[in-house]
Amino acid sequence: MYTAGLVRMGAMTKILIAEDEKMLNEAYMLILKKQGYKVVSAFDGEEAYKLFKDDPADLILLDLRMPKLDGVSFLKKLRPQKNYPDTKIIIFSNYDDQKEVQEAIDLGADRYILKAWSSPSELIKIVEETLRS
Amino acid sequence: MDIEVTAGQDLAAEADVLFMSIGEGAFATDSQGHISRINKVALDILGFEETDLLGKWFPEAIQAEDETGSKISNIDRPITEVFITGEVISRRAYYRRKDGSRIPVFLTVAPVMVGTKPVGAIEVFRDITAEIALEKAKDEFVAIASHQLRTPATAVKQYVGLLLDGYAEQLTDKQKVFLERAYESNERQLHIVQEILKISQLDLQTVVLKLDLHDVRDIAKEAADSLQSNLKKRNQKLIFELPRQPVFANVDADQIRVAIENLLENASNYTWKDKTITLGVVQTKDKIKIIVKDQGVGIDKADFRHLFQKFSRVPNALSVETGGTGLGLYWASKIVELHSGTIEVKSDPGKGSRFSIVLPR
Repeated sequence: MYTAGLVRMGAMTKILIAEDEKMLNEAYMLILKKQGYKVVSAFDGEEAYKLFKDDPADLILLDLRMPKLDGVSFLKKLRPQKNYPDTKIIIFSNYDDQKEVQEAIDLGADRYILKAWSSPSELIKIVEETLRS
Repeated sequence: MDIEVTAGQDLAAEADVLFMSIGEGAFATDSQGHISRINKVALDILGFEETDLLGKWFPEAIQAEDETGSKISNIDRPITEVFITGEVISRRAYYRRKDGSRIPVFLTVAPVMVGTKPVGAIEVFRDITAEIALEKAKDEFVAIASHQLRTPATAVKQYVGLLLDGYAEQLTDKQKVFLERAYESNERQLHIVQEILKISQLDLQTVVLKLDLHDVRDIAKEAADSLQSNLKKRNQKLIFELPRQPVFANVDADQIRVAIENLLENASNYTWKDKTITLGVVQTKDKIKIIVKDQGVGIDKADFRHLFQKFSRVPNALSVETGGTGLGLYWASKIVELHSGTIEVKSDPGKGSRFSIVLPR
């Protein structure tokens, strides 16, 4: 029934969740796993960076305010435009600081979503749309 | 402030002592705008000596600026306005001190009248640096507190959403209804937090306009789209009055759209069911007007001054039914102000109101 994750030449689409808020991290994990995606999650920026370097994901749900390494610093370190042009990145933040969001977009993020406006079904839709884009 | 001028020398000396003893900065000008008296508090605030200012023309002696650092032109200086209108004026401004530093002040200017003729002006002002710092601290606190509130509310949304979407197990109809109510209430909370946050961003001046050339008719139509469900619920009709030709303006389309949405939402909420709202765009030689007209409850003139205040809600026959945070018009006015525009209001209680966003071309 849940086959959205089974794309791209038969391989499972992999999603990395970088979210320090435990409850949200777990909810996103539950929702995306049920859709058939392979999901890994990190609770701070450094952990997210390490997980991604070990095994790059097709899509990153990236929080901006995180301990150890914030979202913008994560992008500066990863340099996705140069090193991982195929990876889609959704900035998933509750701080709609325009400057910070623009900086993340300039560093290679594909779009920005305010966490507060995304229900489980909206999250699925956003992820699917971004993967297809 | 009317001062009776008499020939008595004692009285003049007494007035002089009184003037010099005012606990706030004060200076007086003659009918030509030359500074005729200035007290010690004013000199201390501005860092000048009395000889630097006495007899000088006030706009040259004391330079005033607005919030953005632009010089306030002579014609817009309160003293000039007081000479023209004869009315007392109070407002905020920034003064340049002798050492070049900038200082925020709150000033009140009154004409000195002999009969009906202004023969001079008196300005009283105080340094409001501490007040502004306090306001900033308050705005920052509101921003931080709202962000903190948003995180747990977002988690509630996710988990109630999970239940409603069947991630746990099948719900009974009753469970579903209750959870839908919880979801709706949580959504409302998130929207209130969002509004407060947007306001604090405006107040903290962290909003950066993304200016570009846009057809105002398109922005108006987009704003109207977001109102459809409201109109449907209240069985109201929206009529467009748009010119055939494009009306281009250099604006932040998202922000202006929100300002129009706020006016439209108010128009719908404060208009009885089955009535009509009109959304028009008019272009003149130097202005663009976006006009929202309703057939609503209207506003008493006495309430006009409260309309654009933060958290202000004008009581009327529909205000209880409507709910609302009292932030919509404040927000709209701030956005329009950032575009160097104004919002004009006309209202006929019982018949309806007309709000016009006026933007310079």
